[in-house]
Amino acid sequence: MATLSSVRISFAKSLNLMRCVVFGSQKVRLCHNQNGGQDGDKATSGNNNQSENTSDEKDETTYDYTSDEGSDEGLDDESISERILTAALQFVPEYGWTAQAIVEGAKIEGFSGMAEGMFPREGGDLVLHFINMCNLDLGDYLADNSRTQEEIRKTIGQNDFIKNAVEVRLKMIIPYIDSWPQAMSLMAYPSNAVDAFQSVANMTDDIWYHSNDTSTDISWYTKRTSLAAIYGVTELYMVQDKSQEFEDTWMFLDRRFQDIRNTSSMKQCCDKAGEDIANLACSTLTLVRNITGFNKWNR
Amino acid sequence: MAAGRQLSKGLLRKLQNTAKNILFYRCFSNINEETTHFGYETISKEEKSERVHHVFHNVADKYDLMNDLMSGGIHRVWKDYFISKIHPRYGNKLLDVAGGTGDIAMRYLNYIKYERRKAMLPENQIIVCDVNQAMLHVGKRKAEHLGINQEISWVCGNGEDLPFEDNSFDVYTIAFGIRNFTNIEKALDEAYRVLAPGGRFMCLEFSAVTNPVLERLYDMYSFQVIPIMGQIIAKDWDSYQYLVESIRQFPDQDEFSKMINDSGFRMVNYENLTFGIAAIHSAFKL
Repeated sequence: MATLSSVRISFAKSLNLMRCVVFGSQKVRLCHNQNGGQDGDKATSGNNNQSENTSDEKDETTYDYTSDEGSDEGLDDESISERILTAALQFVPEYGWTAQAIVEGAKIEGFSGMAEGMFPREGGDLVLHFINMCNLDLGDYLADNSRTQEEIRKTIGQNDFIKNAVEVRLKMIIPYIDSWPQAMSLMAYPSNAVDAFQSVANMTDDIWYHSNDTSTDISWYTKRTSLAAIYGVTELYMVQDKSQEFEDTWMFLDRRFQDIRNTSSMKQCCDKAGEDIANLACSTLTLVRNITGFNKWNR
Repeated sequence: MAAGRQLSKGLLRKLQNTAKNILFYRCFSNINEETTHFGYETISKEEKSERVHHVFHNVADKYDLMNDLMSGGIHRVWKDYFISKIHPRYGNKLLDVAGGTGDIAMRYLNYIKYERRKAMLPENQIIVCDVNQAMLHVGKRKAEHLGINQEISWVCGNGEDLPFEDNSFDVYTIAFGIRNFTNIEKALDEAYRVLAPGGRFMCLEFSAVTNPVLERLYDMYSFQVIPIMGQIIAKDWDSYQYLVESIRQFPDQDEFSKMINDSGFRMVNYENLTFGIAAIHSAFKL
């Protein structure tokens, strides 16, 4: 009995843990979206106006330095580093995704160039900031679209909606296309790869979410991985594309979606063929048994 | 009536007690205000700065040799790493406080040597500030020997009352110095004052060893070996006794981080070197 109850308790505990993981992550995502809204606003308005500054100051006064570890990473610190990185983006065409761009950005924001030391991954932090900004912009764009063009989306279909989203997202890197290979290589660094992966996962999730995807089975994963794969290869194609306004890239993207369609129809064909083959094999076996006389009831 | 008398008696006693308490606490706080620790001794604050001055005056000539011997050369690795954490850049103004012998300033200069385009740095780009003239002499002599004396300015000044304007430096470094200040909070406030917004505070200092086994070994080495070494080489037992004791008196990593935070610095973090024998604290003025 004792062992049974302990098993029950541990089972309940693990269930709780799973629930925590699921709901915890959901909460994180919610926060992320809320921040996203603010960030998008900032990015579009460019400079912080006076009212925003005063609210920052309020944050500072209520901010308690005496609290425990982790208090160093207050909200205000984060907004300052975001401001510096956003300002640094305008220097990327000149200096690339480097610490030097961050230094110039810090100077524009009225800080000493030494503030660059706040970003230990240097260029990597800059690229991640840019990617996250783009993802948040994309999220806003998709949210607007899914609200206003509900009907249109129904008519254009899920596939085209997703293709459009990928296109919109890829167009965001056009201003930095010359230095984008450097950014991609930075994202492959072990120190950045985890965060880079996470941001791609967030993006694909956003796109599928706004395309009204409600799958709860294994296809939830396959959909997101295949979208990430399409995005990745198209990005690779794009940085080598020399055509007018990246026409080749969009054709390439078209073909990849066609591939997906082909694969899914082929999968259906295969499923059907598999069933047929099984039937055929069964009937063949019966035939053989009949011929050899194994199937005789009075044998 | 009797009850009333008892009540008044009780009140009287209570009053006496509070008076006693007030007296006691005032005395106690007076003690706290005027004294500080010098190693394991408790002395007055004026005496501490005098004695610290005396210590470094005595050891100045043998300072670098003793550092090498005591740490087995590791202090060089620590300092090199410390500089690489700063990310020195051409055009940033450095103030190295308590850096008499110029270890940090010269490494900094060496780091940006490849980046600078002109033969010479602009004036007052690298400033070494030390309260002790004897230590500054050692540094100057070293710089002259290397032919880089023109590029480093040597200023004799107290870290608790820096002779510089507000917001005038990009990076403030202090390596193995802040421990010896009489008033650490004041030194941190001064660091905050002279740094420009976005400027970085970097401190390399002995700290608390994190591993208990190593701590025992480290203590044994510090208390049994270092003073003897000091006696033999620098002919000064007391100064090195003070050195090891002052390391124990200095706040540990987290406590010191909190002190830095309290001075107004932001994004404070630290990194242990060699199991926490030394630690690098980094912070920004935002």
